[in-house]
Parts: sequence; C-alpha cells; structure tokens
Amino acid sequence: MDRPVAIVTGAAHGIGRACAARLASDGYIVVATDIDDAVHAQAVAGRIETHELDAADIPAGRCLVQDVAGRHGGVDALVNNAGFTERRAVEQLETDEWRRMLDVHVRGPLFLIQAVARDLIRRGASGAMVNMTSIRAIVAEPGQLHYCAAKGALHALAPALAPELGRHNVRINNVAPGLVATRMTASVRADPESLSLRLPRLPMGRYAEPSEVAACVAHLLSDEARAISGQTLAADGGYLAG
Amino acid sequence: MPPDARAVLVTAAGSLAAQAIGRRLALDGASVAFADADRGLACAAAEAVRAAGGNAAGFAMDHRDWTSTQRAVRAAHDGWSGLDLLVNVADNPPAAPFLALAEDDLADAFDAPLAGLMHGVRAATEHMRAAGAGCIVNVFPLSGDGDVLGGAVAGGAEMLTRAAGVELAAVGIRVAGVAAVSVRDNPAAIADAVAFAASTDASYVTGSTLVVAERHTQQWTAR
Repeated sequence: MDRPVAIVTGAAHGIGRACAARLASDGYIVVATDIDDAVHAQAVAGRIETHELDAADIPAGRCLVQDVAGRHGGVDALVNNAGFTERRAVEQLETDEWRRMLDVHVRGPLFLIQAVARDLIRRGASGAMVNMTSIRAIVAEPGQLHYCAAKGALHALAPALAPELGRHNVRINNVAPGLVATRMTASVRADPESLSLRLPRLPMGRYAEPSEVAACVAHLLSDEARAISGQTLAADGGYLAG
Repeated sequence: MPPDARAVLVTAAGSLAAQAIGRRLALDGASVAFADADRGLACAAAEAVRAAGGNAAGFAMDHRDWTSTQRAVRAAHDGWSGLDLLVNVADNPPAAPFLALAEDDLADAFDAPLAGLMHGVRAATEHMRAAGAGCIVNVFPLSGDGDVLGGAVAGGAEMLTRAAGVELAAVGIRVAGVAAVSVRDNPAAIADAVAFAASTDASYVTGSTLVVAERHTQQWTAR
C-alpha cells in the first residue's frame, strides 16, 4: 500500500512541528505548512515536505490540496493545527484583530477540511482529520474573548461535520491541549508567579510536551481510532476533568 | 423586572425574538431601545411597544460595523441616561450544505452573527464599566443537525459569552447567553429566558448559557 499523505498546518514550531515529526515516523508523507518560513527547517527528503501557507488564505489552501493530491495521488489526513493567541481586554479588541483570529482558526480550517473531503470523496477513499482546539474552547479565561470564541467555533466543527463526512468514511475529531511547552506558552512558563497559579490546577501537575499532544493526534488519525468521529480528546493533564 | 434594569437596548430588532424580548421587558417597566440595521424595523418595533403602553425608541445600528454599533449603543445610553442591559441578538445563519459551501456564504452566515455579538459586548462594556454595573445577554441560535455554520456560530457565541463573563465579572458586569434552536421560533419562551437572565434572580449567573429547546440538546451538552 502507498504511504498515506497528511497535511499539517502551523508546523514550524511546537505542537504542529511535533505532529509532522510523529506522522512522518508513523509512515506518512507529511506536508508541513506554516506562515513562518522556519517551516522549511522541518523538511526531510521523501518524508516531510514544507510549504509556506497562511492558514487564513482559503484560495492558497485549496491550491495546496490540489497540488499535493496531484503529486501524491491524494490527501488522506489533515491536521488543522495553525493558531496563535494574544491578550486583549474586551474594550481594546479591534474588529480586524477579531477577524484575523476567526480567519486563522475557523474560516481557513473549514475550507481546508472541505478541500480534503472533496479529494477523499472523489477518490472514494477513507480519511481522517483532527482540529487542534484548546481547553479554551471549553473553559474561558479573561483577556481571551476572541481566542475563546474562535476556538469555541472551531471546536464545534467536528461534531457538526462528523455525520456528513461519516457517510463518506471520513472521520473528524478534536484534540484539545491544555498547557503545552511551546512558544505560545513561553511567557506563562517563564513567569514563576503565573506558573505557580496554573500548575496546581493541573491534576498531573506539569505541562505537556508537544510530542504528547502529537501522539493523541496520531492515534485519532490511525486505524485504531476507526470507530471514533465527532469527538474531543483532551490532552490536558486532567485539567477539564478536575 | 428588577429596578436595576430600567435602561435596555435590544439588537436585531427586525427579528421576532428581539421584538418579543423588548416587548416583555418594556411591559415589565423598562425603557427599551430597539436597534436594527434597518431603522424602519427598529422604529416599527418601538412603535408597537408604545402602542401597548410601554416606553421604547428605535435606532439604526449595523451590528457588523463597530462604529455603527458604538454610535447606537451610545445613543441608547444617552437617551435613557444609562444602560443597564444589552440584549445582544444574533440572527439565524442560513443553513448551507458543507461540501458546496462557498467562501462568500460565510459573510452572512458566520461572520456577521459572531462579529455582531462581539461589537455589542465591547460597546456596552464601555458604558457599563464606567457605571460599575450592567448585564449583557447574548441570544443566539443552536445549530440543527449537521449544520456546520450554525454549529460554529453557536460554539463561538457560547465561548464568547463565557470569556466575556469571566473577564467582566471583576467590574460588575454579568454576561449570560440564551440559545434557542431557532431565534425565530417560540419568541415568548426566549423572552422569558432573557428576562430571567437579566434579572436579580440570576445575580450569581455569569458566563453561562440557558438553552431554550425541546430537543437538539445532546450535542450541546457534550461541551
């Protein structure tokens, strides 16, 4: 059997980078994308190819899927991982900042799902997708109105799409990370006061390594999770349970 | 109606839900400003309330546009000498089949309802923070089965409500949600839920969404 092809967005750093590495070691041909040209450092001949892509750029995302499908015969898996956060008080939140947050986390991923789903359905192939949501899609935090709203909307896609995609043997799930050792949380992890407030709220008492989140993604994409769709796997050290 | 919610702004006044909410609050004794992108619809809603013996006025406000929202909220605030309650109503997104969805389909179905809620929260907060008190009730539709844009709007609106609630609790502003299968269906039940969420009976409620639905709750409670 040909090696399956997976697209991972936001793969220059952190969780996305770990997903690209893990899926490559699991035997996928990985197409790693990022708005940051540092993504090219992840390239491994024959295993990981890299592309610069703004996750909010819907036409560019469609082109990428067509290009990858044309060169590799199809796209079998998608990880909508690209994201960012920024703190804004409600009264300081500008409309274009709001818009960018929703474009990157919801609009772009939605049409990437559509493009990959169309390719899978055209080929009559089965496939799987994972959207990287967040504990902030479920439990809110001050100063994160646009991030929480965007993650909340992204989080809703999998259960809404699972019935329709399931008819075509395509699965879609969420992974919801908590505090992970990435650039996004660097300031939190570097601040002893902030860390001392957060760690006690994590039942496992530590933050996650990106590879631990990537392992959850790899599972949901794998055939071992063939009966799972429309669900959320929290990789959060027990935060949501507690 | 509690005495602390005398000055009210209800958005999307062209919708049956907004009209039912505004009427209910006005007949409970509040002064109600109706706002809609179509000023004629807002004024008609106000006129109907006045004919029933309530106090109401109509304003033009395009929820999608920050400047327009800010201007209308300020006008309501100035007209009633304060703003105790914003009822922030998101329109029903039109259902669209996912595989045929086009980029343009998102403008009305996804962008407008959520941006409208955000603009309303931001504009109301400017006045309520100064007063050290206030309440915002976000009214939004629950998605139907397999309705991806409706689901995304509901998921985004619920988290927007939670995030605003946890942030603004510190300055005395409560934020609650009322979600209905359709904001066009059963407007009286939606008005009842909004009246409760805005009242002193809900004084310890913030960030939470009341679901007004006879069914379709399974997906919702999964969160």
